[in-house]
Amino acid sequence: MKKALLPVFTFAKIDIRRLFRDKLAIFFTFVFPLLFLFVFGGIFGRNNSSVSFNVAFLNRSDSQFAKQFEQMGQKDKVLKIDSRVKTLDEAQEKMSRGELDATIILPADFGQVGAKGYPTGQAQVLYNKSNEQGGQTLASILNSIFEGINAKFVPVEKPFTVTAKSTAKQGLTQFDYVFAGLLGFSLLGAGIFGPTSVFPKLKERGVLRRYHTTTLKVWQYFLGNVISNTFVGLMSIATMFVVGLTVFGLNMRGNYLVLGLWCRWGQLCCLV
Amino acid sequence: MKQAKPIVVVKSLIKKYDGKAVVDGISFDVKEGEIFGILGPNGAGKTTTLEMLETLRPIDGGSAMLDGLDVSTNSNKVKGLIGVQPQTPSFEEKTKLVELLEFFSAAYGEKVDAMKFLRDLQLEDKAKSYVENLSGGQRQRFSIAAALVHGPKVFFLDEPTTGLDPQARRNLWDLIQEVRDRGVTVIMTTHYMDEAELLCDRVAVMDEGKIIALDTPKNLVKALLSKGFTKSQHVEQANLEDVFIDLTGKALRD
Repeated sequence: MKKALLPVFTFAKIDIRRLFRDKLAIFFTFVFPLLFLFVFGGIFGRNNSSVSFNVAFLNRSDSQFAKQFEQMGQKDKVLKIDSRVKTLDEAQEKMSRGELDATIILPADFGQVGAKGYPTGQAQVLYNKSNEQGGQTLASILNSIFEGINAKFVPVEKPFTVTAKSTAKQGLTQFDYVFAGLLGFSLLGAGIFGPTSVFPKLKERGVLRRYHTTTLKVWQYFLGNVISNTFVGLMSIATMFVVGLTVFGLNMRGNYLVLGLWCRWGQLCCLV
Repeated sequence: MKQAKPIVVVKSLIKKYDGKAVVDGISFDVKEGEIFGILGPNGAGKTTTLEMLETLRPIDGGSAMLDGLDVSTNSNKVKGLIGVQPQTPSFEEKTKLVELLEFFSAAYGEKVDAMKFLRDLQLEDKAKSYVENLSGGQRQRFSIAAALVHGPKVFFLDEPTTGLDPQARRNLWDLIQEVRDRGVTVIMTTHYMDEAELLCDRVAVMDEGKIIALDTPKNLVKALLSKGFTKSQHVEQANLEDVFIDLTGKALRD
């Protein structure tokens, strides 16, 4: 048995060394998946978990309350106010180009103190038909802000309320799902694109025929290939994990050993 | 040459492609320790004959015995007894010579001192070079080392000097003779008559799948002359190849 495994391990050892001498192989095994990781990580990475709206803020009121409300809006992280927009026409043009999600308009009588001794008014949220969901969401957010303000002026005990509580379990982000896809892509690359380009080339050049003149068995050559591909594949995946965890805040769930075995199985299926 | 027992015995060997016999019932034997040449024009069936003996192609008819083993039924045992030098030696790229020798010996389940092999071939300084960086002659010599790494009894070479310059050819001839002197039986194909005349103890001349003559080069020439063959004689002490080798040196470069 030891004699039968000698060509397997000798081939695997030489094959791994050979890969690290080949700049093209290094690129496609390690750099190429990382490039994709950086591209998609940049899009779906850790800074995309918060929701925000690009809005124009048209304050037509000169009341104290309207001014305070505008200042509060400028400090809010949810609202990104484009201060260059001064007129409704400008706002509508930018909304039509998709540069703004909505426009918040405070009419001239907004915040004027009425007969009851507290300020009143109705803010208007203007949005395009194409961004109805964003406009409605923004209107809901403003509505809850106003509810908070209203409660200060007119205290009313609410019979029904809602409270939100975290389950203390972290959810998965968009990046975590993208990362799984990128892992699959990397496995496909290592399992399919590698051997499918190498074996025909070796056959064409007569290398496999030369091996066939020796006592080397097909299973020995295949197993040697599987071992070297496993080692290199797992190294490539480990590199992706290091970058995913450290740069993009990947949320790892489950067991690394199980993941490694599944990755190996997937790669083996591609190879076969 | 002393009488030796035959190590390869071929009887009525046949190979057919699409019903046409490309090797058509040939018979010959090769004695232990001799250099046996198979000559013939392109398409004569030389390489196909060699590949059947190397277990690379199935035998369609007749039999071939190598060291007492039937080639068609004992292919793996036969592979352990032979070394094969293909016409165009190819190896995987980005692999050092020493690693390739380690791999080839491991393929036979053995571990060898790869550096010793390279030293014997004057390739010790190239041990860490990649095979694609060798010259044509060096590559052929290395390929022979890879084929002999397990100590075979019979060594097959398919047109070993095709494409080599005169110096490399002569170096390779020396090497083939050294291999024979070590007791290895050599079977080679060639279409260079000077090569066959210099190297081979006996030659089989093939044409259209059949052996049309088989004897020592001297006896074949004698037989031709005895039929009254003459050609105009123009003897010179040297030719252009000798001039080339004299100018560029034989032993140092390949």
